[in-house]
Amino acid sequence: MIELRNVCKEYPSGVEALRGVSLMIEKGEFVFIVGASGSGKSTLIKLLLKEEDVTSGSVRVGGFDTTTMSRKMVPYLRRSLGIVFQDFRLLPNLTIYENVAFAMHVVEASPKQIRRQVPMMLALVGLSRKANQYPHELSGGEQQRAALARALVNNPVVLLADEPTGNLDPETSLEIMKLLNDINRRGTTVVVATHAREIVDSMKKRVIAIDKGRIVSDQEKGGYTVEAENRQVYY
Amino acid sequence: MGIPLRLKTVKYIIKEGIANTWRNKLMCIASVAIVAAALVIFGIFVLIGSNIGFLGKQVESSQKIQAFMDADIEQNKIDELRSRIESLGLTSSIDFESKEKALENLKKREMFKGHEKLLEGYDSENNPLRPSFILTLNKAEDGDRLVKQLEGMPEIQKVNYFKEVLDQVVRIMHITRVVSLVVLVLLSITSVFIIANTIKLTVFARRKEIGIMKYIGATDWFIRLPFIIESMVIGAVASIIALFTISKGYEAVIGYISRRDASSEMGIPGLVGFNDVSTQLLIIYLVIGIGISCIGSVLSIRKYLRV
Repeated sequence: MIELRNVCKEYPSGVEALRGVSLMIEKGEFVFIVGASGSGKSTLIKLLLKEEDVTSGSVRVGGFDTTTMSRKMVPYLRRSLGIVFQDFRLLPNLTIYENVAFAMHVVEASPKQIRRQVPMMLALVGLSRKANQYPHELSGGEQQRAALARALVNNPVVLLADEPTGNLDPETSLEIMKLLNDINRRGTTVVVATHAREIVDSMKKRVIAIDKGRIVSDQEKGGYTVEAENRQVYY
Repeated sequence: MGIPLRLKTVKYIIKEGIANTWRNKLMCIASVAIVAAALVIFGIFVLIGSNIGFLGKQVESSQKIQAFMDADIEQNKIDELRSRIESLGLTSSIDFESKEKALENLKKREMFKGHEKLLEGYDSENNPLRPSFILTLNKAEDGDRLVKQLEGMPEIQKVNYFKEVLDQVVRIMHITRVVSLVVLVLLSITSVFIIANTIKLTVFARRKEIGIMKYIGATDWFIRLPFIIESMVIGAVASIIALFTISKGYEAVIGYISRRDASSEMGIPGLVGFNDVSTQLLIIYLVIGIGISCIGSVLSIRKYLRV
């Protein structure tokens, strides 16, 4: 599903964000990417979205080879990815329903599909009753749920979440993570970049740790702090 | 750069563009006001320019050239001469003045008031005057050419032509035309900048929105089109407001001048009626208002599409 081969990324400023990263994420996996700020995990997400281009190496996402594809295809790459950000990024002038519907208009879905799919997604994230409210009328957790509904409405093969709980309190964060887990159970590959230690530890998922642009550990059912014994206890 | 969007989507986008105009009404009202103001200023100069042109035309057409023929010229020669002058294409009117008519006109002249006896004895039997053509030029600067042509015709005896006056008129016309053209060009450039800048502001105010659309996987045209439609709406509304404002303003000015002159309620013959320029102005407005808005929004969005 996602495959990085020996990826290096150097910004024009000379900062080497990634230095030879290789990793493979299979379909249906739930993966945390952890690391301190500046470790390169944001760059990794940007490469997956083709917001930035690799300096060397190759990145494959779904059926796309982001290193060779043309600019014109970028929208289609992004349509196969559901994306969630720390700051939600909902359109402020649209209601929650319209925000989710908007993502479907972008992929030129029919009004009939939109009328069927949007309420389903809002129900999935538990926002049916807030459908006609505007983003600023919702709490942070609710806004992130709305963003999740928007990210999922087009049935993406991969859900990419960049610090999805960065602006939320621990309780709400846990709820969002549970939601991500549910989504993963429905078959969507989920990739979460975060440095929320407690959450990563409690979820017992695959954890890829990045430090100074290199993968320093890749653990099945791991924790934020890499301890082999820990893994045994929970499995 | 085709638009690879389905018709249904285009319809949705047009609806969305118009809805966006409403959602961002404050920004849009500001843009409309600025664009309309620019167009009104532009329109004022168009009106001044066309009035100068109109006045010039009047001066030009009041300059006449008189060509005298042999006293005993035959009618068929006269007709032949008329068609020859006509075929030069330099004149807008050719009036024939027979020698009888010339005498009649002469007797009516102010200078003979009270001295009628000076002309006594001159009648159709004894008429020393010559028949002539009174010619009006198409363009004042063609005067020299026409006179040269006329002097080359054997039937023409003498040409009356007020060269100095005509030259002066031509010079003044040239200067005013160049000046008003320069002012108009400068003003159009300014209007274009004002409009482009306004659109840039609108786009800047919504750069986040554009970014979000990119992340969701919107194609460039999907993002661009609502903005283009929005700026077209702004341009069209501003054009109509500007046209309305300037027509009311111009009527008021004409009304004021004619009241001051107290000459007639019909307006002044020396000024262009607004109806004569309104179509021209509307076209200019729509081209500038809508056209520039479109180009401006495409150019200002470009920067934010590179995500």
